[in-house]
Amino acid sequence: MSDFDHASLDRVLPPIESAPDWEDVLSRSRVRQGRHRRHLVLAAAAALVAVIGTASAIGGVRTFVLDKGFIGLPPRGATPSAPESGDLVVHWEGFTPTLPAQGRANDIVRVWVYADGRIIWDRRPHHPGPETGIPEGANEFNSGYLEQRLTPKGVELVRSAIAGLFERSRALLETFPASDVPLLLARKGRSALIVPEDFPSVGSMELSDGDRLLRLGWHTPCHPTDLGCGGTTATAEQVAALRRVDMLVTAPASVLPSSAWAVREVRAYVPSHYAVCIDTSPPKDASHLLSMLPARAAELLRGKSRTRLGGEVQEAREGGRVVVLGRSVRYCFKVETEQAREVAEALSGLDPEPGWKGYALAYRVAEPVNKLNPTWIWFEPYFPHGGFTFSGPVG
Amino acid sequence: MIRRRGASLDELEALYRGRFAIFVRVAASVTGDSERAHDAVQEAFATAVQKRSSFRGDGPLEAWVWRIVLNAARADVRRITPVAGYAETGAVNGDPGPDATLRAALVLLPERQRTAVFLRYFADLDYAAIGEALGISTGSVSATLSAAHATLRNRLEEVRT
Repeated sequence: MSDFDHASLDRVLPPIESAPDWEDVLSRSRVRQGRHRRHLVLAAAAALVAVIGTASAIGGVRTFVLDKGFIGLPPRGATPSAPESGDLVVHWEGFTPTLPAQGRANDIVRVWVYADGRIIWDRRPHHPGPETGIPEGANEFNSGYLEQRLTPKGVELVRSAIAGLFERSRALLETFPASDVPLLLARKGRSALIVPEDFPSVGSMELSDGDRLLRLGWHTPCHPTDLGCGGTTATAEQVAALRRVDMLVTAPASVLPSSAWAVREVRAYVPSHYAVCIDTSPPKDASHLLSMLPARAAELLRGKSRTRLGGEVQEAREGGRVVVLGRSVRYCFKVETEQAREVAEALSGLDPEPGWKGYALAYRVAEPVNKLNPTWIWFEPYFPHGGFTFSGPVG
Repeated sequence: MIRRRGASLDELEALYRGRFAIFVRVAASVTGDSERAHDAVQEAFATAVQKRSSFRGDGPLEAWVWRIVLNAARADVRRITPVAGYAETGAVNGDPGPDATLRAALVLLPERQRTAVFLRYFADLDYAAIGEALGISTGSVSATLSAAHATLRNRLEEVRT
């Protein structure tokens, strides 16, 4: 026998007091990569100064990966997400039952998953504060749109989980054109799943089906007089499946295996295009609306590809009944990011919309008429599938 | 022979999860403290993740990672004065007992000999992998372990007489 054996060496070594923590390893690695990148950027910048001899030359060429969410337009030089376009596989949005509820309501989570592996998401804490748990987030109200990347296996894991739930809810599925613009949480409907009161109040998910989207919505029981109230009571199995899928899309890092991740590091989603949206009540036509803007902004938007949306129904409770006050119309103009910057500059004389601070870059164009909403203009990032969403405040 | 280039994240994670306790405990033989050993192992695997594309496949992945772990542990020792000794087991009736004697003898071994002993007889690495981990030839591993055996035998003889 040797002078040493495993058992005796085992006794002389200190006992182990810690458990494996692979997430900590990855986190340390990410921090280093971030530092390494910053060093590279600094080194590249220094090299440019040395070669060109003037710091002013850097402004036009410097590009970088943005590792923190932002609101509004990205900093100049932030590298756009690539490729510019991608096929949407899954979209999910809702008050999440996965993250711990603080008080009455839960955080709002939205997730878009693409065939090329991109997973783009944002989160709005119900109780904004510095401890929102998203170090890469833009601010205490909103993470901004963030991006990670899944492997093909990871995409399939997410897709199949949602497809399974859809399979069990076939009678409730609605189909929409893939270009439909989902409004933040404004979905109820007679074909929705009605979930128990202890489930967060409302949400919807969409699964790509060719050039159509299959959509399944859910909400807690509502008052029959509420607009859009209706639906079918969810079975216990459907609720359990909903919880499982929510956990998968809301906290994928804790559910998906390492092999599902191509890039687990979180970075900002930087779009190549923006929708400049104007919402006004009562409805007006586009030329009338443009005439309400500063001349330079109107000039930049005129002739651009635009989408007309129904806007939102504005309601109020009067004598215990919900009455419709009116409807808005929304026009969204598609511009490249640099053009969006020019539009923002042209709007800088307007008052920023105070209620939107922390959510979106927004300005007030005109004051409200007859208890209706004011006229707003704001900037929405285009997603790889060619759609955009609503980034403003909820409620 | 076709050499592979790079290690996958899955391979590193599997190695980490499968051999975590061994890595930490052998690292503790360098740092003298299990908490600092744990930190060194975490740092080492973070380095391995970051540099995984540079793994050339000349030897086993585990040997490559051992080298990084040992370097991290040594860097920790250079930064902070090491805590002497390993597990403290009490003497019985004034007799230090065989474990305490072995521990004292191991502490007095040169660091390379001590680490070679733990890699061979605790982590069960073969000579080639130990050589890769310590950055020495396989022949030197054999010589290092022989020297460790000789030193230990002398020390244990001294204790008995």
